[in-house]
Amino acid sequence: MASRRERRFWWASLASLPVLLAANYAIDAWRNAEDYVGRNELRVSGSVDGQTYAKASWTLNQARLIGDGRDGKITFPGQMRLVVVRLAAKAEDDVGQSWTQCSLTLTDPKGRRWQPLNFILSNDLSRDLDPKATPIDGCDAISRQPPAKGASTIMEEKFVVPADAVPSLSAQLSFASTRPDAISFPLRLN
Amino acid sequence: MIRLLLSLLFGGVTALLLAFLQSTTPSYAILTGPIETAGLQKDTVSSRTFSVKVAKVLRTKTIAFAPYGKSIERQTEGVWLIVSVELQSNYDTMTIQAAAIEGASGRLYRQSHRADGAPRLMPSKDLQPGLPTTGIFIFELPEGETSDMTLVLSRQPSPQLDSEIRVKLDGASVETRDRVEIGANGV
Amino acid sequence: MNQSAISKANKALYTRIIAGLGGLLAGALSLGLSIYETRTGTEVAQVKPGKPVDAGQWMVTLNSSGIATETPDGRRVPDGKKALTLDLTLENMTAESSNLYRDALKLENVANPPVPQFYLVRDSDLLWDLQPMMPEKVKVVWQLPATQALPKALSVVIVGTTYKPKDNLYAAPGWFNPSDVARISLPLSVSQGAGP
Repeated sequence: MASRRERRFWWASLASLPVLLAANYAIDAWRNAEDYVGRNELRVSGSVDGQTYAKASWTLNQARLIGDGRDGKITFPGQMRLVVVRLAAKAEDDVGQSWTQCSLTLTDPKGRRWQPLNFILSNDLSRDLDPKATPIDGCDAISRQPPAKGASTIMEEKFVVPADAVPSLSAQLSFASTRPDAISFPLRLN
Repeated sequence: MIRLLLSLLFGGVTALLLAFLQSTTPSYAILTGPIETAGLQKDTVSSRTFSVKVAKVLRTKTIAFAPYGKSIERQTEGVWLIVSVELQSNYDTMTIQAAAIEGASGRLYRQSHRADGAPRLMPSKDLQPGLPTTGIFIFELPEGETSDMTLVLSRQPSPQLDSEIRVKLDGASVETRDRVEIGANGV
Repeated sequence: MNQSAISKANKALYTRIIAGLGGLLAGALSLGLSIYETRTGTEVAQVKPGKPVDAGQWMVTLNSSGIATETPDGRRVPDGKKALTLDLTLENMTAESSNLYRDALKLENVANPPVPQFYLVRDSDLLWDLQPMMPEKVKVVWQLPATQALPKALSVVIVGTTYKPKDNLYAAPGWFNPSDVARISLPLSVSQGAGP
């Protein structure tokens, strides 16, 4: 025969059980959610001229479509096309480490995403396209040596995309320091 | 007395119920395993992330190729199987690294590393969404296993909660050659 | 009130004693099991070279051994080292391609052997995966310092594992409990060039 105090403690422990379990799952889930949010681009906003993103202001410097014969002599078989994207960045503040884990990808309204070509292939293509010019570095290389405050730089990435996706492509940029926010630049190629 | 019996009965029924639940729960490997899509060789088999169309299946005793200029010949006690496929990615840039043949006995024969360096091998190709890519997979297996073959493809070996496509290969359409030279333009 | 308090105390005492007994039993069982496991195992069978040995995942047939100055893929062994070469036939007895043959061989009377390198004799090149039910002639090379003294007869132990369709953690099939299955004595012959 338990005393009233004992009985109350018993009921209080029972009642706290679901609360504790829920709190445990919530904390575990929050850790996983934090990790997920840091790796995915969940909020994409169109880039606005003059807006600072990752301590710099960004503009689309150039977007080239190669492979259908209109730009240069190189043509690719079938639906294959090469898109060369150049972004110009002006550092508004000390960039430091805020450009690490750069992700520059092309997306289309259907949700497809194209990753850039690896830097060896990209450099080989740069030399094929313009044997005299020095190849422009990609996002990874630039992020390791970001420009000083007030200085500008250009980064270039190449993508292989199907011809039918070309009119609706946008370039999406994000860094480890800014995810889940990303900015996008419609390429407006035709 | 009644209470004792009742509690024993209650305990027994609960034990039975829990045993039933435990024996019918799929194992961890199945719960976290591949998401399988099966199909036939004549169709384009599509999973959520990628799709495959098997073009040609070649069977031979000797394969020859020339990586880095040096020519290599490989022979086998069983047979070499060269499968030409067309792969297409649906949403993301990806590589299909894992390919295996499930033979007639159910054994799994993964891609042969003895053929590393051969041209047009699929695991070395990036698949871009919207662009079909052709390539080959090379397997080595005993002759007896070729009577009933299934091609198993996935992004990584032993995929966890990732797509896996199983294509049943049509035995009648397998072409047999004595020796195959694998060049940059195909077999 | 006094009676019920005493009977409650008795009940609590009995509960504690029974719980303690259970715990003591568990401890005794675990101690007994670990003492039992340290007993000397059954003798490892001595097998003649050339006879196939069933090591669970692999069917191993040791043929011969020798010292060489060249690895089976034609490369010279670096200066100051010699290649202890073992000739054997390996067959994958499992249900999928596997490259876990490294753990099947153990050198007993060589001090500090390095990690061995496996070569496929048919290709004169490194061995990668072995396909199930396809036996292959394989050469195993240990690169030892040239000054290391080697016994006249090499003693090689074959380690076998047993198949468990559902393991204790993931209910997935696997090969567990490695144990010495056979001991093979191979005469060590010295030769120039690649092993016999």
